[in-house]
Amino acid sequence: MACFKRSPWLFHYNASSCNGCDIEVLAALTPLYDVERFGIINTGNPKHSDIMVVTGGVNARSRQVLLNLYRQMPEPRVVVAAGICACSGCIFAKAYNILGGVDAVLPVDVYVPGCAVRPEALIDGIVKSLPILEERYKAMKKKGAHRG
Amino acid sequence: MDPVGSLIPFLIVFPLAAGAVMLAIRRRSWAAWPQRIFAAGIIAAAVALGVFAIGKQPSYYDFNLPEALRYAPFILELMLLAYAAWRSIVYRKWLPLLLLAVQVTLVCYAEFRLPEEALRSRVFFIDQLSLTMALIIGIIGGVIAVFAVTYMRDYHEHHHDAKDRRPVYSFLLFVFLGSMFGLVFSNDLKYFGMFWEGTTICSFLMIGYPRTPEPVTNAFRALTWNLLGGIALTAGTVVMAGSLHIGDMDMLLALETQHGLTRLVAVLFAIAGMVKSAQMPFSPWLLGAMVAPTPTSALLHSSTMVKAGVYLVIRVMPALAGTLMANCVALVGALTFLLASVLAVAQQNAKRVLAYSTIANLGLIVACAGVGSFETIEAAVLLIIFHAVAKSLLFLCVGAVEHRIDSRDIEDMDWLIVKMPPVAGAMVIGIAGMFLPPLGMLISKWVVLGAFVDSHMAISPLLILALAFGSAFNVFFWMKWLGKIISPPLAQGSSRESIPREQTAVLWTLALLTVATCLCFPLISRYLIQPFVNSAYISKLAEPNYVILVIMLLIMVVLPASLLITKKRARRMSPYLSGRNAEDPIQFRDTFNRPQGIALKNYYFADFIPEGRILFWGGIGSAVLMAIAVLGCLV
Amino acid sequence: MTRLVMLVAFVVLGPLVGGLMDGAARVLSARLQSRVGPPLLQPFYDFFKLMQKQRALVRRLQVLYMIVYLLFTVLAGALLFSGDDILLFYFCLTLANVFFVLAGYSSNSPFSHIGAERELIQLLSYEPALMLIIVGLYVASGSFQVRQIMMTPVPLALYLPGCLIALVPMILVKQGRSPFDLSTSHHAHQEIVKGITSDFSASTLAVLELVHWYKNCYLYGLVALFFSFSWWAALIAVAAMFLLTVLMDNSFGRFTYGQTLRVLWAVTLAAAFGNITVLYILRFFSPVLLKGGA
Repeated sequence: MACFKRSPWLFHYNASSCNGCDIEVLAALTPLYDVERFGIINTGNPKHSDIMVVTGGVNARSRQVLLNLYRQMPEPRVVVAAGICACSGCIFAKAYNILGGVDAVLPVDVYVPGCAVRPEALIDGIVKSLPILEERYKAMKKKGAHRG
Repeated sequence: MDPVGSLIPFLIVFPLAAGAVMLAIRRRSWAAWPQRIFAAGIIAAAVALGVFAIGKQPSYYDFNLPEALRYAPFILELMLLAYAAWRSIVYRKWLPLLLLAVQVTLVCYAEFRLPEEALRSRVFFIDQLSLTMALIIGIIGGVIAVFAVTYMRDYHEHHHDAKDRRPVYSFLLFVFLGSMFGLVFSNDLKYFGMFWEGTTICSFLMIGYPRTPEPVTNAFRALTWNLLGGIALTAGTVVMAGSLHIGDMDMLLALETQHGLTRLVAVLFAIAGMVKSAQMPFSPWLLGAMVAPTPTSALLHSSTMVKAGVYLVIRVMPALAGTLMANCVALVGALTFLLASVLAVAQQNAKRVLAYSTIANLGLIVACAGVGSFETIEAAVLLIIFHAVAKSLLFLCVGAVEHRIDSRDIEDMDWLIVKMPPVAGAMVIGIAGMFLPPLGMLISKWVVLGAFVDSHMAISPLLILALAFGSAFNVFFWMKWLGKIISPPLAQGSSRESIPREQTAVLWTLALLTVATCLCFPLISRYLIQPFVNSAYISKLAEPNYVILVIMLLIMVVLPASLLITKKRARRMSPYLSGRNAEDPIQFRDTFNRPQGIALKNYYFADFIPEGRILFWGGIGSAVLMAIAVLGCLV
Repeated sequence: MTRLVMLVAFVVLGPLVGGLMDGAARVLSARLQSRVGPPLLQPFYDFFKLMQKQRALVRRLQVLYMIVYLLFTVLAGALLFSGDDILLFYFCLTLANVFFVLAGYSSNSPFSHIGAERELIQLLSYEPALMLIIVGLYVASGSFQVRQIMMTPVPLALYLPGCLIALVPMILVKQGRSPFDLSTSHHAHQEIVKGITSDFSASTLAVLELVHWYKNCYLYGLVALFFSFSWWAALIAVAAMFLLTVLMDNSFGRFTYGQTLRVLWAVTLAAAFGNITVLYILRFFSPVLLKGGA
């Protein structure tokens, strides 16, 4: 059943963003963009979500948190890097505290560049991640790891 | 040879003799088995009585003391009072001394004013209510006596400041049981009064057992209040003897209640009962009594002595059903139920929670007795049974836990389900038995609600209101405790603690009894309660709803068992701590990346529930109601 | 026979009806907020997705508690819809809620713990109201059996306006809608993350959704009970109550626990208790007025 496509719940984490991308992520919930049309809900809780949307580059502190939160997400799960800082670190990549984009820590599935990331682009990015979710689910079922 | 007729004196005298033997045994290592054997004897006798007497009509027994011993009960009572007076002098407590003097005067007056012919006939009796009480006293009292063997040994290891007078403690325990049996089997008010005072003095001595300052103060407080109740009782007896010329309970209840004096006697007895069961405004004595060792609290202050109070109220109030006095008494009970439930929410000390919960449930029983209809009396007796079993279980659990974790605070009982599984399991059953369907107290509350809505008292809406709000508060404070027991630990070092196997056995006996009484409640209703209430009355309980209750019980029991057996592997996740979990699952990393512990506490609303003020105003309200009840008899 | 049919209908169709109501509520809320909103069947997509997630737990007992919660909710609703004792329905609900709160307590997260405490406060706020409403139904119709309450010639809504008013905040609290969404809330209104459900995931959450749908059924079933004298009136009443709850959900911010308790208790005392007192007085003066009253 194509349920992951119809009910992707995401969870948004700010690794070290300036909040510009965060505002755009939340703007997607507003009536202008209304992602709930697609069944997308912004849960604040990794245990409830399928998609982790990360904004901002990763530093040592947020690395710990990212790993912790990622571990609290049940399979199948995808990671979406929103904004160019999350994709690669952008102009902060060479800073002493930034380890790079999210892919320095987690396996990223979709990169959505932009500064700040446009809500339309973000929605596109999330929609692109849905088939990946479905694939992962099928692989999970095949492995029999579905229930454990 | 009437087995019942011989079991009754046996049940009264055997514990007294056992107590004397326990007093004589000085070497502690010799005392354990006699105590267990005596306790077993009491349990067996009580069960035998149950087997022979269940479902029968009330029987009365003449009891003739030889001429030389004619004044023996009177002398005995004076000796009890004198001993208490001596202790009051030793500790310089003048108010109890004064009350004792009043009581002695009244007792003497009653002794020489009672009509001669009432002295020697129909002294003892047994009906289904007495039998119910006797079963509770015997079975629960017996298991608590067994529990006390190991418990008191641990107690003295924990409390080095208390002088080890365990022979005295065992003596008092058994004497108390004997007095309770005497109380529930007495028809003659003189004997009733004597056993009543006996329980008061035993309670006083058992609370003050450690002989350290705090217990002593509380013991005298308990003595003072209970003496007031005793004075009310004796005063009623005096009026009965002097103006009505009768000395027996059944004769009192047979009188027409139009007569003001009859009503006055009944109200005085009801007040005496309400003092003993710690209704408002008399509640403080029970709270203070919680400093006593656990077997005292479990036996006296939750399952038996305070039940003696409501036993008296249940005996007299139905005769007054529908009158102004009945409305007042019922309202006192309802008010106590509501306020004590509210007060229990604010308590962190487990024994205080149990104390307030006891007071609340006794209030509910008093309210039922006040209404006095068949349904409410049935509800009252059911409440007595279920409450006695569950509450004594809880007190014993708290005692067992206290000796292992050195705390009575609920907040220290987290993860008890893993630290002390058998005790925690029994505690869960006890708590569930206090408020969850399909277990006992819920069934009783169901009957109570049905009875209240059908009652035609002027205050019925108020009773229903008190029940609705009081039950909601009850759920709240029991759930907080239950949640705490099952929540994961917040501190390191949650290793397993164990308690003596004997204690575990006692706890689980009571736990099984809690469940068994709930399963058997249709039988209890049919054979134990209905004959008491009225043989023509058909209880609403005997209905197909029983099936649903059994289903509920099965779900609650079978499902956990099944789910814990199936070992489905699931991925383990850490709790959500905003992503800042430390390596240790119960810690998180703070701003400086240091691991910090988590502190989680229940709500106690201490700011919104001012204990002193609520007790005060509740007391005023109840006192006013009682005054109205008394004055209403005199007009 | 009809009782059995109703029972089976409730157990089988209840989730469908409840889920559709949930979906309709989401669409309606969205439209009120000038959005388009999810498709009507969205709750069912959510449910199946949650069932397909990997089973991951903080504690094994959580699953147990939630399943027992579900079973007792279904039992309670089944009792109501098959016309059985309404008091038993009330007690089953209490039991169900107890297990839900225990599930919240079984995790160490502060969010979970506070959510559990708040759920208890929510329970504290509406339990007196529910009991008084049930008592009101008894006094007006003379029976605790739902099938007899339905058959009573007395138009219950007319005799129990106070109880009906008290039902409104009670439904809001039970559904966890604003302003009473203290223990757990819509995703966008979070205060303590997801409160009591913070440490639930996957199938546990799915069970919660299912319970929510059954809850919708029996809550609106209670409303319909007041209008049992006419199918049309009942339908209109349920629709009106539905609209009212969605409207209130979208109009209010979250109440503090103090405000919740005060508002619920004030309504309970004034409306429900007042109603019952009036009925008692009426019954005292003219027993004929309430045919079938005890």
